[in-house]
Amino acid sequence: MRKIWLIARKDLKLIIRDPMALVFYLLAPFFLTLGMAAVTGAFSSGETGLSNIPLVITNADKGELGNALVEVFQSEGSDGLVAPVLAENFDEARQLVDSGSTVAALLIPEGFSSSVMPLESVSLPENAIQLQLYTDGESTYSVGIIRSVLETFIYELDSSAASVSVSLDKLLSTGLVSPEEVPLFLNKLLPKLLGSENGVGYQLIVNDSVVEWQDVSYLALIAPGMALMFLMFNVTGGSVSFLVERRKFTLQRNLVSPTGSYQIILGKSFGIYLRGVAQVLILVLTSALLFGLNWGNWLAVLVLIAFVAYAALGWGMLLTSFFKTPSQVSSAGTTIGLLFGMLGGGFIQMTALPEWLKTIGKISPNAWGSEGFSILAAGGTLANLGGILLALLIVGTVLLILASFFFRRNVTRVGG
Amino acid sequence: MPSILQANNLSKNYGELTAVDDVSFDIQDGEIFSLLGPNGAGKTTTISMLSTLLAPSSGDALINGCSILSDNMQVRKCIGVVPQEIALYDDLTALENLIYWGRLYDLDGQELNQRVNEVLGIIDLKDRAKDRIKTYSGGMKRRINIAAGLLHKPKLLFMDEPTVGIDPQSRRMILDMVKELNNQGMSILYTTHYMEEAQELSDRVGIIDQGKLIAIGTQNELTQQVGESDSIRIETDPMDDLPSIASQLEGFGEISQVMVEADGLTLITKDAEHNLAPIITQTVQAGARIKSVEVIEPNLETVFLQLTGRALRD
Repeated sequence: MRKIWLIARKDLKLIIRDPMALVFYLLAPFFLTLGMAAVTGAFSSGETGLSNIPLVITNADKGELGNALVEVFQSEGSDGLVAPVLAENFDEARQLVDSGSTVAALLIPEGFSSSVMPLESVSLPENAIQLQLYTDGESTYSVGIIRSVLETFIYELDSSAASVSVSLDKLLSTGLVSPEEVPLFLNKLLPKLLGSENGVGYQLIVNDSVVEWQDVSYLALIAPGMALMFLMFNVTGGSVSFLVERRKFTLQRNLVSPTGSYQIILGKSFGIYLRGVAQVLILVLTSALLFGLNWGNWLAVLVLIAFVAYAALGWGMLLTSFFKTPSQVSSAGTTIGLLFGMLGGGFIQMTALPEWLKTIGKISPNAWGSEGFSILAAGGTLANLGGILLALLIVGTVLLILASFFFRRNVTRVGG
Repeated sequence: MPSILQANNLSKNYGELTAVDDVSFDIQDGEIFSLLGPNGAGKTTTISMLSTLLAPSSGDALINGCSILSDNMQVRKCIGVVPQEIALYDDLTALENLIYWGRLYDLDGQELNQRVNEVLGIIDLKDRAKDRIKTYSGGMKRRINIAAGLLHKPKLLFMDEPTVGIDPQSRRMILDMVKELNNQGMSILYTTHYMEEAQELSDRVGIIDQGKLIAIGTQNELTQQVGESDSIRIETDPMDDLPSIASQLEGFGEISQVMVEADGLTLITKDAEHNLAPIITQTVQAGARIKSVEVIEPNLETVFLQLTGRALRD
């Protein structure tokens, strides 16, 4: 173990001493985050960057919950992020979208409030309550933010509706809560009631298609994907150091010392792993500290980073064991890094990918990592990551086993 | 005297290519043994096998009584390796490099510090110890490269062409260092293609060519193989038809061998002092425009020439 740490520490020291490598592997993600923030305006508006996103809302519900949702978009909390206007007719609202006057139109359907607060005179609907969002199909980021707000609202509502319904019914009937106090009550009660599984379902319809619940803030949509993409670059780049050391004959010098080849491989792998973890941590910390990005439960974030870096290391080691020159590994690493970046939400949201690409993406640490970060950003905990961590563990382990078959033949064996 | 190394029928094949072909030799405790041969002769491959870096295709070697095949970790503990290349981390200082390599050899704490200090003294680089390797000259890098192989006081030191590409002053220092290490009791396997180094350093020399060990012995034993033969080196005009001239000289007088080189001919003959004049006359008559003539008494170069028909520098 002492020699493994010795070798890992030496590799980390070499990275710190190499200005170009330090910039690329550790500082580039940091500057990328700054760039993203600058592009999206996070410096000027504090949170998510974009502001005054035009939205037309048709509140056919007119009830407390519908009004509460409108208030979410109008409230101080949105910091001017969305600039909502009300329209009586949803068809007219859609026309405004079609004409380019606004980026999205939202329909809060009739019966939305009564689905949560069923009074004696109103019966629960049989089908899911559908919030409809009609978009221009072009303003991806702006619509993404509106969707995030709606999805969060629905997520909390969906998981709490039954409990709230029962509770409100009793509270209203006993006069402990007045109808005017319902929005305030909802704000306080909903977070405590997460996890309830019964009740009416709620769905968000975007351009006539049902969408799944997903992550919360705009920066959170992109930052994990970018972090994971750079992690892949970092790890494959780090793995090249095996071949570079062989070319410089320091690997041979390590191998003729009384040090097992497994110790050398583990030591170098550990160094690569640590710098991968460090890189993602830097991005997570800087985005959290500078831009207030909520990554979620910190312990779970750390564990997820550890597992994602492990799976990424598997890919890096496999490439290194398979190819014979640093340039081959670099080329393959760049290609795979970009491909996995795409599959893992580094460029576009994963929800925008076709199903078959999502399925292929499961071989990448990026896709699993992005999904994990989304869960955590939306309030999930370590307990919610079980399947993802297992998948990352399997991906990393299988790849490392495969790499070990090739390693002795291609890397530690040398010509004379 | 006991053997510190006993190589038995070592061979290394790469597909159809045989890099080392059935090589056997031994090194006595406290001896400097040189493997002398041109580039590509199989010297580095031999050292790579002996240092457990490469598995032999066949054969084995015992180092300090341990097999390179079955007990390679014990072998590694008692050998030091100075590779031909500068195998150091450029972005670490000399001190950091030495500490790293020392720890790989299980040195630590006070013992490590003391040994690092000692080897820095041996190579006379204490004052530059905290500078990064990339700031060093070629000769200084060579010295650190050697120091890294000395830290654990190996019983047997492998030095693979340690003076390649350095200035005469650094070369002189390294040769003196090798002799001093040997005086302290260290056995050394030294590979080189410089005849002068082998002659100056070695107790015994093995001449290797095309993977085969073609002669082995002390310098006297080897030169006796050549008998009373001398070499006559004739430098000619580059435009001369050397193959034609060589064919006319073969069999002339007491000439036993004629080697064509890029800029002249080398002849092996007995009693060069008496035969020189007729040989020059014959050479001129054969069409050569002679620029210089040098008579070389028997040495390792002559031995190599006699055994292989080629010069070491080829």
